[in-house]
Amino acid sequence: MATVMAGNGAAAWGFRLSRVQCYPYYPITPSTSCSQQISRWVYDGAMGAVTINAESEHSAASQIIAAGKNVRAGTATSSKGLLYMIEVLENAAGGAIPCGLFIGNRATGAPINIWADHSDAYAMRDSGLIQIFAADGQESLDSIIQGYRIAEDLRVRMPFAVNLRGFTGTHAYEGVEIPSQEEVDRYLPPFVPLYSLFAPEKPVTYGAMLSAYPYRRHKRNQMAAIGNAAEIALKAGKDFAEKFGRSYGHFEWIGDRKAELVVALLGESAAAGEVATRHLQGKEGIPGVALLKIRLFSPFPAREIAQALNRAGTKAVIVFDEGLQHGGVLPPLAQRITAAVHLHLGGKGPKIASVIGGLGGSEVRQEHFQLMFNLAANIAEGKPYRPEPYWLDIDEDPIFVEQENQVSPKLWKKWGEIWKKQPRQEKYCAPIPPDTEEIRIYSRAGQGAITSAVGFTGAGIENGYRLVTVPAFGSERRGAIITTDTLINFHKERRIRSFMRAWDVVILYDDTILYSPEHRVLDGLKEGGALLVNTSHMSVKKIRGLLDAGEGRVRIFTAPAAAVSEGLGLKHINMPMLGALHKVYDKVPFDKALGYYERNVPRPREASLEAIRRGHAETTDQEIQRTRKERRLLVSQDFLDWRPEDHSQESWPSALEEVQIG
Amino acid sequence: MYNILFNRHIGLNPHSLLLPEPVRDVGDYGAIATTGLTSGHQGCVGCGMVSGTNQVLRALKLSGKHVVASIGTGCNEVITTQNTSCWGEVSVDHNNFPNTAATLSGNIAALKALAQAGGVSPESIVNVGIAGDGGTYDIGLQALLAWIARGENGVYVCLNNQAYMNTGVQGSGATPYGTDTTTTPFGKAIRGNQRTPQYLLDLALAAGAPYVAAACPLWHRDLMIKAQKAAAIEGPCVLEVYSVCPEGWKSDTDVFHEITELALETRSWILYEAERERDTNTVLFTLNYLAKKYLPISDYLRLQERFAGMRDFPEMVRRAQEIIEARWSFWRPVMEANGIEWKEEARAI
Repeated sequence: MATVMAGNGAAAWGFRLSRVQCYPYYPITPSTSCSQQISRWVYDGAMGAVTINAESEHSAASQIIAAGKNVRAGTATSSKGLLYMIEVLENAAGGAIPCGLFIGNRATGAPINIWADHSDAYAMRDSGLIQIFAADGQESLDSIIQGYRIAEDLRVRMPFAVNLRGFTGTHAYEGVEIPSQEEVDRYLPPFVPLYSLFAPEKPVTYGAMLSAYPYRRHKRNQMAAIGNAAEIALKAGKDFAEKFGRSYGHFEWIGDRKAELVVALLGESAAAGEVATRHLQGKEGIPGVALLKIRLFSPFPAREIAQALNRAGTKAVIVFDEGLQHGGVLPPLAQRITAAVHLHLGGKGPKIASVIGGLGGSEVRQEHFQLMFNLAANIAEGKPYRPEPYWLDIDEDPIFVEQENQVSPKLWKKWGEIWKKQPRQEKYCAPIPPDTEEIRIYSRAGQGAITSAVGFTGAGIENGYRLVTVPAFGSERRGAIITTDTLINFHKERRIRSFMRAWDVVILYDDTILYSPEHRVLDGLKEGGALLVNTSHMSVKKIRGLLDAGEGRVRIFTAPAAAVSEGLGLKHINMPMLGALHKVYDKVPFDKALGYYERNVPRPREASLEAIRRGHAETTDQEIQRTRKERRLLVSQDFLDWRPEDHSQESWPSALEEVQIG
Repeated sequence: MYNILFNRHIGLNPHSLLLPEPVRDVGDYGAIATTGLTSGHQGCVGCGMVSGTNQVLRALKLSGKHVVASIGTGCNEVITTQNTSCWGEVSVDHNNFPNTAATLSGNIAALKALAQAGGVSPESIVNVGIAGDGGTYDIGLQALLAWIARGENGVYVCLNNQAYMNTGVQGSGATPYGTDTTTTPFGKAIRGNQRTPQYLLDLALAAGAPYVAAACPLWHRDLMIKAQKAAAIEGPCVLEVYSVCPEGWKSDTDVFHEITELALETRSWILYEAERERDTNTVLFTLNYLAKKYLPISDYLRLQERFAGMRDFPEMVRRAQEIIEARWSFWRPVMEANGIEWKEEARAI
């Protein structure tokens, strides 16, 4: 039975089930809620770890490295926090300390950017840690448990890091299977300190200074130890599959067994890649396609990857990197794959091109993978391609150019000959028909939209559907307009967690969002989709008029959520809106969902449940006459036109008028 | 802020308000069969830090507990762990330069976790962090103050030789006014170190330490009493040890004794301790030593060539004297209570 939780929560379960004994932490977006969850458990007595409220990531890392000599230790971090840790992390690897890190991957700036990419993970790649990339919460949970088993193996004894893309991974709520503690205990034996500091009969010195001769031997041994991790990881993955039914290897090959065209990448963006790959598979005129989703980044399984490409008869590989290697020849993943192919396949290997995208929270969508497969096809056909990386979503430097005047003369001079010979092929790039149903909520931060969307997701998952909810995060501001998206996947056998951004339902938690010039709420709404608005004074007709949308374009519903909540003494309007959603969207049956809500709604439970029911009952697409007195500020046009340099206004309007609204 | 009380009694003090019994005064027991660092370390001739470390370790071992030392990078680590370990029966965890207190904190957490699991009895272990003044006053201050603020149970020892000696005598946050170091050279335009040192033990008290003490290896009974107290008192205790450095202070290797005595007689190093009674938020200060003579600072500057430049500048010597007097005026109530004449003027010039 899957439980709904975000990626960070799943990682916290990974630490908890691994029976982590020491967990220092320092908060940083987007990995913080992992540490919050663990603190909650420890402070409630549900988890027996010793937590330390560290004053910096540097200290948190120092603490796991110290504690990791005697007990199982771990922490979570992101971005600059990880960079701040790097100074000490080499001590973990050099000292053979098998501690664990969970990293919510985030850009590293400057410019400061709190959103996702792999810059932080790339920055630590020479720190000597085993690096695993997870693609969702479930993989994070499973990989942390496996991570400790790999790291603590006597042939390895190295620290490890499990990476998950920030927000689209760490903040995506979905169903996660939580293994039982007994099962995990059978899989992961208790931590055994090899040389304990607390054994008086056998004193030990860690971190001794070595001169050149022992130093170089030590470093060689260290390289051998992390090299061993590749084989141990395979064994750990196999055993995990036997016990828990979810298999893990060095990488996942998604798509055709014989694949001329391959896109290789790390981590969560594979979700979008998978949709594009499945879409292109078996299409007329398209050779075999596959997505090479690499899980083990360090130690890099070079031989295995080269062999897999060789077996599949791959002609072109596009390596997608969500980070850079400044001043390098290729970004880190592309560089590793290129080295692997050259070393193990020599001249017989596939051609390799590099694409950089997804930086600083840039979306990685299905159509990007269509472009990459298109590029791979061109390269496989022998077309020339760039010896340096391509970029996604850079207007003046696209992958394909139809006309010369689309780009600057300078760029055309450099790449024109290649662009001319690189056609954009419709069979690769035609839009993918949506295969899922999706709901978007526009709300103001603080209105509880995430809580209600997560509730809906939980109810859906309990009823056997696959749902994912991804809230969008900005810089923290109460009252700002934010979006919360939910995807409903009806394929029981297929994993889809990548949004097509074609909404079946759009929900407005606040009717003033209708006036926001920044938010065109009908954009992306499917023809005949539904718009649900929380309003107590706007009629369906008025909304339709505001949006200038006909009846065939959109079905419009209104819910008097504020009035319902006010009547029940609730602070938030999210519970009635949850009920209203079920009225508008009945694929997740309301009566079945109610059973879930009865157990899971926020306190006060009775009032929340009643709010859900009333929200459901009072939502309508009919014109209803509501008369309600509203107080409005009397303002003149002069006031609205006023600018700071204008001194003509003598006084501020302050009178209130009472108006009847119908 | 806290209330300040003064102990009227000046001298060795094996008693503590925070302890049910006094600790052992090693002077009463004659030779003690514990060892500090084992032979083979690479410390300089005349190094005060090695003596300090030895005395701290021997004092801690008196309790019969296993000593786990989290040590910071610096002379102390380099001379004792190169290719082999000179720590004898002490378990040592060297991590990095800035994180001695964080490493100490991690080891304390590990001990707590092991105790929870029933593997080790926490009473059988004493966790001690050892770092130099650079690793304490400067790069490690954040980790140290946070460790104190979290109230973890351990001892932190700062071996203060008043500059970055391991990297070649650069000025640190503990370098005295006017000192010639490689980064605060005694130049024509700027004459040596222009700042005054910050006071570590004041910072530690402000962060909430229950016990802080300043000691020197020359007064080994006092130092070893203080180390034992720090280990016995529950909470984060800080001990600062005056460490003569012939290399960095440009002094002869055989004047360890003389330099330390002069430091005490000129009052530029004060042997004192302070313990904090949490419930009443009161700090009791004890002065552990008062030299018979009160000598002008110029006498202290004599044996150390790091002060050679400022000796010729009377206004700099005067300034150094003022700094000492300003700091020493704190002890006026104790002096008055003991009927000792309060000398404002001990200026040489």
